[in-house]
Amino acid sequence: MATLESSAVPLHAHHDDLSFIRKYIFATDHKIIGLQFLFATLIFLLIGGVMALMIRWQLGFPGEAMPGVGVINPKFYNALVTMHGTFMIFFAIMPLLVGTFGNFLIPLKIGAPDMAFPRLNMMSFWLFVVSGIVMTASLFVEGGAAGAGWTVYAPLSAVPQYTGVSLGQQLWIISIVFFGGSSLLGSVNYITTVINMRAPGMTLFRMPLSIWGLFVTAIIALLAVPILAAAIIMLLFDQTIGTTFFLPAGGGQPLLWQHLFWFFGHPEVYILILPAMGIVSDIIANGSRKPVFGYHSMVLAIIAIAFLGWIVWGHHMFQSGMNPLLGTSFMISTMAIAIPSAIKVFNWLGTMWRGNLWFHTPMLWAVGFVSLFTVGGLSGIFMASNSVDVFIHDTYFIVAHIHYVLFGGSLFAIFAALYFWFPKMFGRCMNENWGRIHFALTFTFYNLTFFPMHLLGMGGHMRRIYDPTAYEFLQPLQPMNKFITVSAFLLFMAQIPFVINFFWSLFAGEKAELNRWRDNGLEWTVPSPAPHGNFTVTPTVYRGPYEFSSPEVEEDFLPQDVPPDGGRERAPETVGR
Amino acid sequence: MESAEQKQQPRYYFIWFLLLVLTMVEVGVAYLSHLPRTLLILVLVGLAIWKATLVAMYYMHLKFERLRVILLATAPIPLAIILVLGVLLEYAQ
Repeated sequence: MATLESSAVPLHAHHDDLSFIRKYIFATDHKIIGLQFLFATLIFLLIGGVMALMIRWQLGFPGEAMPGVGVINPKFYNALVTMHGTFMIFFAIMPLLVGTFGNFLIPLKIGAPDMAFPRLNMMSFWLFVVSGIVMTASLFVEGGAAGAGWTVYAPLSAVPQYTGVSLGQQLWIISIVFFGGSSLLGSVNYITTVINMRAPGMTLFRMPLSIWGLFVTAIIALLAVPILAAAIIMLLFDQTIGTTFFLPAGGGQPLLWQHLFWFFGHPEVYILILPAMGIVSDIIANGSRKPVFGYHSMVLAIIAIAFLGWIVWGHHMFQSGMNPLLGTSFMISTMAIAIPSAIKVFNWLGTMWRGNLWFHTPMLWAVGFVSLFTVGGLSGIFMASNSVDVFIHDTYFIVAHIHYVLFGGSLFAIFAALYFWFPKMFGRCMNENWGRIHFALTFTFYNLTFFPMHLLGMGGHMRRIYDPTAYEFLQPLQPMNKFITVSAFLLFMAQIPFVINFFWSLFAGEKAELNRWRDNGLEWTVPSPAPHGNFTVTPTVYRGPYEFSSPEVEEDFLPQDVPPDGGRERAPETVGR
Repeated sequence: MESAEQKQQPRYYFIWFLLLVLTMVEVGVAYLSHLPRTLLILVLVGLAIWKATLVAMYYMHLKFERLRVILLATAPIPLAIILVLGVLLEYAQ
């Protein structure tokens, strides 16, 4: 197994000579690319958030004109539902976790000077930009944006007449093809970097859990994204050149689309949560000043979740008239995921148990993640039972579940990570008080927005309807819809402290010291912001990443690169174990 | 080692020609033959596997790689089998 040799080569010797365009636009430095992903995805997050408000306005106050937008017509509503899901999943959460933090953290935390393929990395980002531009452009073309849902179920999506959208749907597909290319290039890069470029002594079981999460995610993405690419190209052919892969009229199978989509789609769910789990593990250990409880079981749980993710896709299709034998197998395999997930939750609690808790802002978000992810995980078990799913399939219960996992889970972890690594990214700290206010407001309005959706779902409220008041049995639920809409607007406004804090701190925040959170990771041994090439001398790693409150030292943390016994002991020579 | 690899340079144009011929056979079988539908599908899937194997062996260079790399590249095949089995079971009721 390859390893980096210790050297004193000044890796960033020529970087200062680069032009602005080479340094910041067509950058090959993993940290700059990470920041490019960050700023690009924050824009998409805002677009997705505004779309959510429009959806909520229509559901809370159907047919009334939304201030600044006007009346939302049914076709536009379909486009909103489709594009909100698309932007949030493909252009916000996934690139924030994988693109931003994957790029920024992997080389820094494993002691590498950069990614294995810096130019490939640059291409990955710019393919993502092309993809985002095509998707955004699809909002403005004739016929409007795609309206068949983010799951683009055929035949609805395959025949332009069904949704009234032709070009918009085709642009959606083309955009996702570019996105798939970007994701694949990123995955190849991450896997190669983690396998080949770890610093001496950084064995696999000395890697921080954030890197384990990102590493396993890259493997899943490498295997899952090509399936989506193949399926959507078949869909594009159905749309444009007259094939009938998914059209019953020509002998095609609409359910084949669902199989292909969810064979990608369920692993995709873990792409969206495993890096978050890893990041949260790092931050909870730091905030508890204790080693992660059950480190090895945490790693094995990540791997187990990743594996089980491949044999559960049918639980999205319980209502498709599936063979009962198949349905039962999918039910059992899905419920089995609760085991590694519970291992992780209990280990997070075990890490905090009797810890010397330090509730800095990232820790608050990380603890918020644990509580909300647990709610989302528990509601997932309800849906995994195919008899219960008969009643809650395609209702707001599902919407509540996905938002507890992807907003309360992934996005809370992203906020935790942003507050935690902001000093290393920009050399300045975000304001702690405003961070706490941001957390308190978001946590409150988040729950007020999404928890009642469970009740709506159990009341039979369908998932993608335009006007709930059109159904007599839903009319008693309308006050709850209004309540959720008001909460959603307040949740949106609760992000204003974050936006102000983020941009204010960029330029006027307190200067960051070397090791802002007294952490053990290698990234905290380099200046803030980290220089090009990261390490002047390749670090040597002597221990795992969570040696907090070690009796060996006076301080309550023991960085990975501090030699035992004052440096007399040598590091292992290979890292392949 | 390097010279041994150079000796085993794949014949790219020959493989390309073979792939072209196999594609023409596929089109021919699909449009011109009067095989029963099940047999037709089996023949087409067989030809597709043949082509995929050629691409993997020569254009992905797996024929000239170490066992470890071959195992890595073929590791997703069980996933493909799981997917196909799942879809087939769907229609087996």
